[in-house]
Amino acid sequence: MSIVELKNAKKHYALGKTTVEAVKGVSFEIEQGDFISIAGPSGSGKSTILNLIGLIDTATNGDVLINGQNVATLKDREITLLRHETIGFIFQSFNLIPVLTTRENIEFPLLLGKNNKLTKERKEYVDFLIEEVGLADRIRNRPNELSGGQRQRVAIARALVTKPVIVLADEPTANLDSQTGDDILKLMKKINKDLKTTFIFSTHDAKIVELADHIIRLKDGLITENYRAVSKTLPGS
Amino acid sequence: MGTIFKIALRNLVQHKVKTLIVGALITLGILLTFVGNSLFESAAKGVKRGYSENFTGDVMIMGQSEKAFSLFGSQDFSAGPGGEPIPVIQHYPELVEFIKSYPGVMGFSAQVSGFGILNFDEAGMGFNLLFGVDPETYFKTFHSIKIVEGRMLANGEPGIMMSRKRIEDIKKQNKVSLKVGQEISLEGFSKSGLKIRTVPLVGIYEYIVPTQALEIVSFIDVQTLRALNAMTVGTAKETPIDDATKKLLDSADDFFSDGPVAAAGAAKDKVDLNAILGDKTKRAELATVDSGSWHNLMIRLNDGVSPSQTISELNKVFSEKNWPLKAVGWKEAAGTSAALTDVAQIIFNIVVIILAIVAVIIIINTLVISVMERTAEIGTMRALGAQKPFVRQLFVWETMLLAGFFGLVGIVIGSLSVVALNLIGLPLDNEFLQVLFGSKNLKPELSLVQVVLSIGFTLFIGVVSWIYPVSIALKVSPLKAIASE
Ligand SMILES: Nc1ncnc2c1ncn2[C@@H]1O[C@H](COP(=O)(O)OP(=O)(O)OP(=O)(O)O)[C@@H](O)[C@H]1O
Ligand SMILES: [Mg+2]
Repeated sequence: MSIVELKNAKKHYALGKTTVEAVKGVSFEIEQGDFISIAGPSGSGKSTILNLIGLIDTATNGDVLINGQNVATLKDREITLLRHETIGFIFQSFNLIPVLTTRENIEFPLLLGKNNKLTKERKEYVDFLIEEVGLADRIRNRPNELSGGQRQRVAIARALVTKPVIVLADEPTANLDSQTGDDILKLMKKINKDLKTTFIFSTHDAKIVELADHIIRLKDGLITENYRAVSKTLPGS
Repeated sequence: MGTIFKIALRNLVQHKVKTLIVGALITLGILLTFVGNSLFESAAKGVKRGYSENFTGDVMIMGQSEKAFSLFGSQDFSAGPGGEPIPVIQHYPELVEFIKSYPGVMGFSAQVSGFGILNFDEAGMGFNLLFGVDPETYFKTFHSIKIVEGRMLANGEPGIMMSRKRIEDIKKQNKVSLKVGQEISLEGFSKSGLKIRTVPLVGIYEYIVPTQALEIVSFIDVQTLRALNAMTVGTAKETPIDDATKKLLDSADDFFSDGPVAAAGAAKDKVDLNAILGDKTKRAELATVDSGSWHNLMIRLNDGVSPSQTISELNKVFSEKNWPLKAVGWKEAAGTSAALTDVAQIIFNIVVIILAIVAVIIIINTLVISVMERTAEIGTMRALGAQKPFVRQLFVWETMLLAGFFGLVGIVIGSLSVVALNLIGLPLDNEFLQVLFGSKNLKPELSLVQVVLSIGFTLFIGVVSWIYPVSIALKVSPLKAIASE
């Protein structure tokens, strides 16, 4: 069973008297452990699709299934719960909580929901993630004391801390210089391999697309290409 | 809760300027309310002491009536003096026996309330409230005056005692210097007509506690006042009231306006009083005064005896015995004259409430702005799995911490100010303020009631302030997490 499935999903926005058809009916499936790129020019509907998968927006038409569950009928509380349990987010603008330190930001999702105790096991996992993203010497710093790349590393660790099945990243490198962007992508890819976490990221940077092993190309709200890459090796690795 | 508290607190520290502005507003508001109400509370205590220890007693018994009466007579000013007769205390001798043996009674004395137009050497000096008393028991119960000239009125002796302030006012307004020993003529009006009595001024006194409402009161022997009030045995014959007297009666209303003395004096010029009162034998006939009638019986209770409980017990007894009497507290006994402090406190608190509303609007506005500035942050939290209650708690904590901390600062500073004022005293030079606060040197006391009320007020401000901003924060969709791009 695929972990994400979109069936003829459509998203319309009412813009004054006209309607913008951001996504005009797309269908695709995503398998566990994939490193997926949603590519396409600006305005093609990449963000919209990621928002549908991330359960932070709802489809106007069609179905969105997460782990085989159709989310259309869920209430806000249930959707939030499902999102908390299954999805991690990496944002283009990092979106760290300004008043929390690196460590506290990473721990933050663990403190939400019913099971909000910081057990020894969980703490150790936080330590592991901090090592993994290379921020061991920055745990007490607040976001404004970190560089863009460091902030995105915090965000990656935060997205992973609840051990989600899917991590969504909408243009995670857009606010970073190309070298840092590369590093971030490589880090994501490494975690994808190490932890078997499914990553879905959007980009319009052709170079980054090449890193993906499953590519969905969009144009004007429709899928133009949906294919698995032949080579799964990283350049330079 | 730990996380929420941490985030809320750090956000307050993070946005120092905003926090300090709103905080200062809360501190100032609480400080003002706290100190103000502490002053009023002490003032109310002072006024209560001033009245209950000097005039009204802790409990006052009077005759039942549909109309409102106080120690000063009718509370229905529109009726004017001479309008509604004050009900006399029925079953007075039995009542006295009953009160004598009543537990908790420290002392008691009765009084007759009335008024008269003062005349001296053909010069009118306006209206004068008169308390007809039995000096011996009255001044044993109330140590309210100190004789500065002449002597205390003796029991059974006809005579009047006036306050120095009253004598000075008469001198200023009527150019008449009253001296001890002079005969003063008093005109009294009642439904049965006009009465005149002449009594000597036996003493001039000062009130030990300044009480504005009582400066126009003079003490007179009760029998003379009963005669002026026409409190006669049996039915009094009606003395027809002609137009000239009516005019004089009308001028009596001016007593309650600004220029009482002048108006009454002017009326006097036009009316030949001797003509109205020509038949002196008729007057003598009417004046078979009831020597046992009283208007009010004032009771002082021992320390620690509850006036309100005594009042309800007495009223129960009165209704059981079928006596047409009622027991009232000092405030009702004092009538409108004691309401000044209460009214001032109410006005003060209305002002405080208006200020509080303004402050709350400013706080709400600030919080709304802070919610809007943080929509991306709220959206992020929601996207990461925070439920709505989490967001609500975050902002509730923030508001309550803000209000709580700065409210507490206000209460602490307020308490220190009150303690300091208590030590040094707040001298009141202005006569109005003296009357308002019932003291010449106000020494507010720190009261637990005010502390508790201020804490309540602080929490109230906090709660009222968060409702709307939180409702906005709850509407923030997780989609806002990416809207900041
Ligand atoms: N809230 C909205 N209201 C109206 N139109 C919207 C809204 N969000 C997106 N759109 C429109 O939907 C279309 C798809 O937008 P979307 O953000 O998904 O594109 P994108 O592929 O992510 O573009 P980019 O690469 O610039 O981020 C665009 O035409 C956009 O203008
Ligand atoms: Mg986009």
